[in-house]
Amino acid sequence: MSYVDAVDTEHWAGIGALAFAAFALGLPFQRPSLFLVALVGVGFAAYARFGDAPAADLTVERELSESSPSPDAEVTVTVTVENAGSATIPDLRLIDGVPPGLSVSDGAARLGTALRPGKRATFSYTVTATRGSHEWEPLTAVVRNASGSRERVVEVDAGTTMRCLPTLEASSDLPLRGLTTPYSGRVATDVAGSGLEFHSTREYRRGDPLSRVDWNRYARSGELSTVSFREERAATVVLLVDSREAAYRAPDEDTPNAVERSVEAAGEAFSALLSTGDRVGIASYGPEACWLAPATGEQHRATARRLLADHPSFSVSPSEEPFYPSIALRRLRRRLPADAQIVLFSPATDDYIATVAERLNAYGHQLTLISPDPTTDDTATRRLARLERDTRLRRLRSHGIRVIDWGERPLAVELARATRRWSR
Amino acid sequence: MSEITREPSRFGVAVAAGFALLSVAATAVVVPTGGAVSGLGLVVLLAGLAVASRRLITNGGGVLVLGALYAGYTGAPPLLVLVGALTGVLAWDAASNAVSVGEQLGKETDTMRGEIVHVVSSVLVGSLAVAAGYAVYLAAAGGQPIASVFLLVVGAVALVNALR
Amino acid sequence: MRRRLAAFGAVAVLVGLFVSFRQEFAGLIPATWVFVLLIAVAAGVQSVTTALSRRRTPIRETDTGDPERRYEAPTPGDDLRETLRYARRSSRRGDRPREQLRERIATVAAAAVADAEDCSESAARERLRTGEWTDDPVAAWFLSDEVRLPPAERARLLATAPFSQYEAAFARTVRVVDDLVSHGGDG
Repeated sequence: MSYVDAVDTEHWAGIGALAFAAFALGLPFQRPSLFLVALVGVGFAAYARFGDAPAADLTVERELSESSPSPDAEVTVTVTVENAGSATIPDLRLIDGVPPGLSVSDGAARLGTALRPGKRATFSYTVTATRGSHEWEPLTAVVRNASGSRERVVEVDAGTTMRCLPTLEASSDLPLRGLTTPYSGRVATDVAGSGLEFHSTREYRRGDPLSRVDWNRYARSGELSTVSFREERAATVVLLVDSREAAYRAPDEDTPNAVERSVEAAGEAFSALLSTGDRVGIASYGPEACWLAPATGEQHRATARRLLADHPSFSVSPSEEPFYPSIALRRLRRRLPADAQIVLFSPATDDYIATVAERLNAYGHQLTLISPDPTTDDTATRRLARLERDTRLRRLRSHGIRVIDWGERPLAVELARATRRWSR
Repeated sequence: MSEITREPSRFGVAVAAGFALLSVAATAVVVPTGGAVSGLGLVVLLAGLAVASRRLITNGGGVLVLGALYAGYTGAPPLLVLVGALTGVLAWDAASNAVSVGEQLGKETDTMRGEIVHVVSSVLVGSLAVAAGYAVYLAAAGGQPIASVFLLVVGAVALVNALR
Repeated sequence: MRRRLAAFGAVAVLVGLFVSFRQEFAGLIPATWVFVLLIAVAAGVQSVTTALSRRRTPIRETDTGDPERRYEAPTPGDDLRETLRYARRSSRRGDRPREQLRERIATVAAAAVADAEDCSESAARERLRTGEWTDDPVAAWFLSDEVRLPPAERARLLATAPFSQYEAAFARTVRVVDDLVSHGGDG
């Protein structure tokens, strides 16, 4: 709990004027009724001066109807506040600390009440769940004395967290082949092995995995044979999400912001790449750095799902931690495997991230930029920002970086168009 | 839904309007002119509540009380004058608190309990002052010598100054 | 000081009550009509000053914020709004906000001109300076040091946006550059 000193609200300021006016009128004309009115004025003036806002000792309990909901679910929050001290709180105004990533859809996260020692008050409201790990901020209690002339603010923490994990699709139809195939990561070698492209069949040997048996041939001729594939080296891809404060931009208040879109796209890309056998990792460029080294497998998929859902760098609202760009870039560079390709997800609304992209590309990591577009053009300044972003993307393209400008169309559509463009 | 509406609650408006009506009634019963003045105060107070303006509320409350003072000046019975002035002050207090609650908690929030305690507390204090004064008045019947009145005035002026 | 005043007041009230009950002591205290009137006037003045003092004192109240709302990300370009506001007010001298805005549009315009007319960046800048990159006189004037605004255009600007000429010129220039970027040419 944290306290602030009590302040004067000046609620009763000027009440003395009643007493003086009553005297001024009553004295020369000798009206006893007016003297009594003056006494009322004096009485209220005294009432305002005596008594301070009580030092409130409160305990807060918060209950969520569902602490791990799915996205867009409605969760009811019930807050119970108890006066754990020995003083009566005559005027208690409660405001709950709803996390910035959530909005209240029904009811109010507030209450105006009074509590005797040991008594409780309860109120509830409904929030709409959004992806991520949401922590409640302390409940704010504004405490006043009975006359309302003094006020004090108390903050009480209850440590409530709600985790909302969206499902990561088992597979995704994001056409990412175009992204990685032309790169050195995916090289078709002529060695027969267990890579992915069909090469030849040979006689079945004991111990060959049943998934590689050519069942069509068996159905036709009754012979068991094993298919072997042309070995392709799997690519190593790192999905890098720009999570700086400058990336949290949205065209209006109803559209998800660029970081949210980036995280969603990174999730789909992760699934798509993993299912084609590539080694995929996830990283963030911003405060609260995140790093998941490229790997494959179900366990890896589970880790990635959890990371994308509730790692602080991927939250729906920006972090308040400080960020040191050059240090972060150095650290990222150290961690990147030498042959890693990078898919950068960033709205590209400032010049700095464009220089980061060019630098990473120059270090030998083939970089593709998938850029959700948060710009709009309804005012002149916003139109200028849109033009600046267009210019920035064009400059990146001219320096050999593949850019996908992701507007309102689904990402799969944009990728298909881009792949066609690149293969021309 | 999301954001709250920072306006006075219905309950607060009702309580303030109720007190203001009482004040007008108490004054108008004896002194129609005073009642008219108080009526104007009532209108200003309600307007202040509608636009959540503290200044209008204070002005309205002031005019309400002015009507009661005028009634006192014209020699109305003390009890009525007292009721008129007291309910005028209570109306102003309730309205001002309703605006404060509206700004901090919003119209949609359940604030009845908090507001009731505040109003009841003010009523008790005011009634106590009225009762004490009226008791003195009844006990010390008859015309007052200037001297005592003078002392009372000076003393109360000093008290109010000290309490400001 | 306050405590003494309060004590004096309390004593005066008590003595006054006492005298009102025991009226035989009344003669001990001086109280002429004039004296009383003076006190009444003083009280009247005091009531007015007290009422006025209320006007002056601000009501203090804790601000409770808006936790019910979700975090809303800003829109790109909103950071320029403040610069634009300063630019509106700046005079011939102290031109930093105007310079900033002009430079930002000029960067985009130069890239667009270099793209459209297939020339180098410095050649594009040269075209901006001379104003030959566009047909629009307001845009040409806005981005150049040398190009003058014809009086007819200035009058038109004044007529359509009397109190926000700079903003109107800014918006128009941005629109012209937008056309250039999207259509690769004017008009």
